Amino acid sequence: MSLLSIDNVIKTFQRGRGPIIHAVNGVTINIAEGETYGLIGESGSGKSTVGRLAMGLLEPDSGSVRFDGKVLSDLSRSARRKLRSDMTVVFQEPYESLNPRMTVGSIVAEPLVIQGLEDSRSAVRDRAFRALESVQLEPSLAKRHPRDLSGGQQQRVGIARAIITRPRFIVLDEPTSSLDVSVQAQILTLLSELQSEYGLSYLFISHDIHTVEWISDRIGIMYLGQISETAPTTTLFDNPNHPYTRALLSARLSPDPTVSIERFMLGREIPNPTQLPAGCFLSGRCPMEIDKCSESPVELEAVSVNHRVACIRVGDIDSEDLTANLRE
Amino acid sequence: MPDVFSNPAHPYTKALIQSVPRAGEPLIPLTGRVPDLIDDPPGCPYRDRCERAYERCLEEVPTMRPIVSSRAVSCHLDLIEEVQADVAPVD
Repeated sequence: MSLLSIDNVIKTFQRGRGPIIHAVNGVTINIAEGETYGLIGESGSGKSTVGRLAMGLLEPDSGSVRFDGKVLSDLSRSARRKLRSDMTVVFQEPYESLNPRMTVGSIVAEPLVIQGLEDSRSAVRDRAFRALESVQLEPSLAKRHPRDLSGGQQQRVGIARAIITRPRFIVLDEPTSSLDVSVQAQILTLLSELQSEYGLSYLFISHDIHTVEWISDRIGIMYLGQISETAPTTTLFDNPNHPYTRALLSARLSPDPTVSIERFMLGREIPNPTQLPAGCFLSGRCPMEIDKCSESPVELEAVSVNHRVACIRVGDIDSEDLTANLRE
Repeated sequence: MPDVFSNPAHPYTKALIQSVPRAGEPLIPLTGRVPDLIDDPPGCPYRDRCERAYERCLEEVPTMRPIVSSRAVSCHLDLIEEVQADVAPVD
């Protein structure tokens, strides 16, 4: 059974009387206990909104989010608050997500205090020290303020705060995007160690394909508020089906400059989420497009076990031929 | 063509390249941090993070020296043989 189930969720926003922004357009994601689901997408693809919906920080317009079988929006305020110890989040900008007036120790301990999980101050302090230890920070840093810390240390504080309540599920929203590659490697290793130690489930959101590939068991590719393709990590990378996935994978830079990657280019920019295309969201940009693509919405369809693709042209053209045809 | 990526010479270059995530391979993060710029320790600035640091590294600041054609490193280790596995040395 899935620990977290996002079922056909739709979320729109509107600022004043402005146009309606279609941020999330029917997303379904299931995450099992101990699993890492990676969500890849460009800026504006709706991936962070999915993270907030998963946490219950936003209410879906329709569809549901279930954690451990319970529908988040059906829960009372107090039940939902209780769930805050089971589901936590780590944000992209460590410094901006830490209260600059608080010491590291009180930042890390705060969830315990808010949740009333420990009765005595000394028990809170003990657990805060243990959380700092789990993220490999010196206990002496507990008295310091976030500004005294490096970016990597600040993100460790963010992670310590996220694990102190012993959660089962953590949303990692671009946790390494603002860190340099050496610090990123430290944080990724730490996250993976914490996962095996505590059996955590992760929703790992990022635009960085290499990072997501390294850490995820399964991956969803998001485009304009929809998942266009989802598969186990190796399947997705070995056999990308959706034209958007191919374009994304071909746009990545290899860490080895001698490896040349075949370019698969899309035309134009990502459309404005206030005006969704009538048919496939990639219509107008896709080199495989036929008339039918812009006529009606496209649903995710299974191409093999655990591998689903939202493209009506999948299967029409052999992937080898396609690559050959599109070679520039 | 052998270069800084396919045949890194300096221990720091090697460590940096190893810390780029590659699917299915373990990540080897760099240990430690960049040194304090105000209270700079003597010797090589990479000394405290380098597995191969020896006495000379603790005392003497390395300077750039050529190892093979068109390549130079700032490191006391004898890296010429290591790099030479792939390329001819400078005359």
